[in-house]
Amino acid sequence: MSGQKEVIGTAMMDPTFFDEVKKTPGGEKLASCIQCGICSGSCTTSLAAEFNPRQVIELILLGLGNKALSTPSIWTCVFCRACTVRCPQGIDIPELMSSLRIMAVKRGALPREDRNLKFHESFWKILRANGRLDTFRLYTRLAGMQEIARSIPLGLRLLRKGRVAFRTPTMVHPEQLSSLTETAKASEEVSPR
Amino acid sequence: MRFAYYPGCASISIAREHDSSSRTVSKLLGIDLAELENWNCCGADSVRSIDRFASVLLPARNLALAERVGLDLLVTCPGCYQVFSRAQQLCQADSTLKAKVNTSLSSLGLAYSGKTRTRHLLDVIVNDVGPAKMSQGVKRQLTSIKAAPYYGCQPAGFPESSRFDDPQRPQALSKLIATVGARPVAFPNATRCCGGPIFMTDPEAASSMMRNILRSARDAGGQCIVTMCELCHFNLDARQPGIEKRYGEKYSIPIVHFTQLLGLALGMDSKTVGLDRNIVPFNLS
Amino acid sequence: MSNAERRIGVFICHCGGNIGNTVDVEKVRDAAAQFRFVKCAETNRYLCSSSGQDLIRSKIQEHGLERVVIGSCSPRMHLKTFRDLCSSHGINPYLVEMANLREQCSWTNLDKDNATSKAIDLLAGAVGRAAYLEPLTPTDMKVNSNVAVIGGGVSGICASLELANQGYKVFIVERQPSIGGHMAQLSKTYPTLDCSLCILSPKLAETKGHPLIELMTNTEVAAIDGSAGSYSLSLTRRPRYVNENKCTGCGECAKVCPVEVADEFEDGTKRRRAIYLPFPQAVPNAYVIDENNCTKCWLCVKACKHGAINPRDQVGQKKIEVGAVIVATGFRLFDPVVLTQYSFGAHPNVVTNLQLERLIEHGIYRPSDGKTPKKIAWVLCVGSRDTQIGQPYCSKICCMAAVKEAVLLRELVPNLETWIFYTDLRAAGKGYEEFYGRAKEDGVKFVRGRVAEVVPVTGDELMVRAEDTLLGVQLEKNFDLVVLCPAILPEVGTSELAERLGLHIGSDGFLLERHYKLRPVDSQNDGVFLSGCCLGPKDVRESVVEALSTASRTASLLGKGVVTISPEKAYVISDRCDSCGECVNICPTRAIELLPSGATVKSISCVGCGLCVPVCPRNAIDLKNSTEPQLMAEIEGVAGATETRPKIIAFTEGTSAYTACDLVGLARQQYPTNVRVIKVPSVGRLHARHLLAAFSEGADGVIMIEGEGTFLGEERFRAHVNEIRKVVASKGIESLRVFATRTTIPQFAKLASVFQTFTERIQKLGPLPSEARSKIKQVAVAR
Repeated sequence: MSGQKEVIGTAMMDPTFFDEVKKTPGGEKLASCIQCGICSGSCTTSLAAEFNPRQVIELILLGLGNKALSTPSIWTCVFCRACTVRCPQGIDIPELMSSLRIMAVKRGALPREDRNLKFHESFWKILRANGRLDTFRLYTRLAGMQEIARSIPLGLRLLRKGRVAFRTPTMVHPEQLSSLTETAKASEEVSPR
Repeated sequence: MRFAYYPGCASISIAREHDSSSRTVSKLLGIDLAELENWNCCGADSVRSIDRFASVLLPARNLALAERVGLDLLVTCPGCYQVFSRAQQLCQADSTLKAKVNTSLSSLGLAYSGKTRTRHLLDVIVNDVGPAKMSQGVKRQLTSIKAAPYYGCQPAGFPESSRFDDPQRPQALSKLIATVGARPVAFPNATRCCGGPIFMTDPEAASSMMRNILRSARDAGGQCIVTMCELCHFNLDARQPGIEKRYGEKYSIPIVHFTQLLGLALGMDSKTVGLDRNIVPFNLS
Repeated sequence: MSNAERRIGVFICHCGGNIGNTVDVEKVRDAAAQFRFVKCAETNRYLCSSSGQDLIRSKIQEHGLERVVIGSCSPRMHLKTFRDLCSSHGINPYLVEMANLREQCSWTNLDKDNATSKAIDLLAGAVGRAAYLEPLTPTDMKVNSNVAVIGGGVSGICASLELANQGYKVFIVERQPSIGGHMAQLSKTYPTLDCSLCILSPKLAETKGHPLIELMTNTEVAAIDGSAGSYSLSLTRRPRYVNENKCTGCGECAKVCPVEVADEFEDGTKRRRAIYLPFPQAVPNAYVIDENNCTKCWLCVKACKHGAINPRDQVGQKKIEVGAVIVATGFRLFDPVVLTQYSFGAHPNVVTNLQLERLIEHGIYRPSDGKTPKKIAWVLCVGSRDTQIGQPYCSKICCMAAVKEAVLLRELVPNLETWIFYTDLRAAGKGYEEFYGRAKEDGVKFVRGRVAEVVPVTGDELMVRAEDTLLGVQLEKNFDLVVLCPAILPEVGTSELAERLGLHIGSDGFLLERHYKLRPVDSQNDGVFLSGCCLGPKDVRESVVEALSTASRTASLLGKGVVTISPEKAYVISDRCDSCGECVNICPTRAIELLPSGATVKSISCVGCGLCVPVCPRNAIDLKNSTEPQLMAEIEGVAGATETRPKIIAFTEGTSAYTACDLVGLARQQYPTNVRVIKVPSVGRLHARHLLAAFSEGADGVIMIEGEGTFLGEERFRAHVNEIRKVVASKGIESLRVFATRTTIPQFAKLASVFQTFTERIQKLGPLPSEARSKIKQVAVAR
């Protein structure tokens, strides 16, 4: 934890958090983690994160629920599964990451404007409307004016080569998809906004 | 060899040229692709971050559609491949989940039994068609090209039941490169993430990751990078000038998708395989 | 002795609260005091303590007790204690009975009321059985004082020398053409950096020269017969093709041999010929021909000036008679080639630590080009501490071996970079932590992080990628030699040998000791002792410690010249026997023979399994200490004493399965109190009448549990259980009320869930209807 200046005190540690995570998909074998670091050693995107996968698990083992759910690190995972293939205890880390994300959303651990939250929720919203992803629309929803301005050089390059798709073919009857997922009463997760 | 072709969302937006080169190359090699009718997005990383059940239901719908036409599913994106593998594994391990999936699908008149296989185009070309048959179709040997095979992050983690290559030391792209007469140049970061999936949410981190790939391939002597994932291709190609600018370094490494490389070797021209649409120009023989 | 003279004393232990906090010991005592023949019933805090024993002693005298029942911990703990106590006060040790109120009662369920009822049932069974106990006397049998040691590594050699020096004749059976084992392959040992062969060679020489040691190399055990004190081993000797006495070790033969293969002693880092000397200090110091690779050109025969080579050598069979066997078969290393992320086998400069030891002995060089390496990395935990591969244990020695190699190499190669990548650095032995400290001072670098991958980069170099977990960053560094430290596994052939000798294998694949703390080198076979890495990963020092222990245990067994044979054997009631021969056919050790006078049991060969008893159509054969009256009385007591519903009786085979049941309690795993265990020598001892008796007296469900690897083979087990089921079903009892299973000791956890599931099943079925019960009773009475 670079730049970490605070002392972790008892008040910050919540043992019930560990028990909760243990019950979610990916959390089953958490207690057997030996903190060996083979996951973080294998992680193909670890560079980006505040906490690498091993450290995320350590946060959970210590019961540091707030940190675990509010850190952007759990949104860095690209689900390549290199970590879980090598984990000597067979912990399903990518599945754990999904569970933590869903928990974070449910508990409102992230501010509305959080980039990761916006990205995935916009993705899901577009899917429910079109049945397929519209990259252009996703980007415009996500990026502010300044950012779009900075992307103009890339945009121009793509335009020149005929690679920009302003409209992508949608599914026929995309409402099938949303009805499908909404009638799935079995889903326990809260529907996104 | 007939498959239900699942193009995936990249193929209809940022990777349309790879969709066409995939179709053309497949035809030339005798792989019959029948596009899956009215397919939906697999859900990628986003749906599983919000709704776990939906993250299984979305790919299951496509698998059920393929099952209805009695064909195995063929995908070109390793990300989609990973999503389909996960859905199948989860349903196989949890019969309650599978039952729930089928209850939902039944409202669309579909059923998922789990017997449809998901295949990746690279796997079908290298392992089903095979180097011998590929060589027969090769009209142009790409002999002077030193190509660095780049697998992206996904294949290192394909579950055992859907693996088609060694996860730690993959060979599929090298085999393909060798078959077209080019020289595969291994480099140590061939299975590290290019940053594509997180570029929109953390461009700084993603840029750093991209840079590592480009540098590593260049330092190993690669004249071009061969990809097997459309998103990796887009990232390493379209964003390359931006990376060069950001770090003040020059790479000029053309990124060639494996179907483009194969297409060239099988006698197609640059335009047909879409190489003329590369941002970083491919100026090799 | 008539019934009127039975005088039973019942003593129930609190066990300091282990029993007393859950079972109402006083209530049990009060119930027991009412049982037939009970003259006194007492409780005590710790019956095994001297004050507890004093209590028993005084009550024996006060009430003139002639048999004793103890309700306490498992008989596996203290049966001997109480038998010795009673025996010193004139009560035959076989007139002592124990009820297991701890491992199989108080430790498995905290429900006080139900645990107390269960305890009352168990005591009722014990008292019932006690009334029919008979005084028995073990017999002494002369033993063969020879010893066989299987395995000639450092452990086997030290055990052999220790015994030979005490005057025992020892046969060393070694599979390889030379003794010495893996220790001969090491360069130096930690933490003293003694040269390995320098300390081993004198022992090898001593072994060769010792008048009481017969060395048989190139030899394996094909079969074993007999029991403790008297074994017969059939050995197979592979042909050496070289006369050990004529061979001078000159090596002229090898010079002309056209075949070259990988050298096992050098662990593949060098090559040897088909005719070869295993290593320079080999004992016997003679060449040997590798018949799998020999092309039979026989050029060597001409080259040999001593006529030592014999192309007509053949496989030899030999039988030896011994009183005890020591198994010291050692280990092999896990082959890391399957962990493709480490590039073993794909790049020449990735080696195992054993290969490194050989490279060091030859002046340390890197395999790719023979040059001296500049940067060496050690990768620890390769295949160890890995549940995905199925080797969850720590291999114990690799941390220290890596540290030793690094320190050693720093002395040999100036300016060498040495990096050790570890998960946890284990340096628990004497002088080990200090040695680790010295390594750090010497400049060995340590990174705490399990290596994710070893990737070939340009030329001879490899990149090691790992997380430095102490910093929390990914680290990549290039090395020109990478040393993998693979897991330790039992040597090839260990499980086959175990099967032949009747030894158990633990869940980790290594041989299982009789008791982890108190009988660490004993096996389940009374005359077979275990030593060294066949039991689990350990270093030279520990292997020697165990070697000396097994020598001591062997001497304990053989030293008196006799071995005591249990009296718990089958016996024939001759006036009932009609010589039908059913018992002869069923006996797994061929211990019964048919003489003109009828069937006769050879006590020495009888293993007391009881398979013969139920097959006799005339009830003419019974088993001492598990007689029909004893078993029936116990069943009646356990099934009928209290009105608990539903009541489940688990007939449990007395060695492995009973031990597994104890382990469930030891692990404090919980299961319903409805289950009451009745120990039987084997499920094969049971007849349908025993189950019917259980049902008629009050049981609602019956389980039969047999251990793995007992004398009741799988086929016979199934057939036997099916026969019993048929009879029970024919009496109108639902077949779901009977369940049979096998278990191993390591799988004890499965038993708890079996008990749970079966209890739930019986609860759903409901108690056996009273009409069904009374119907069986009528039939049972008729027997």
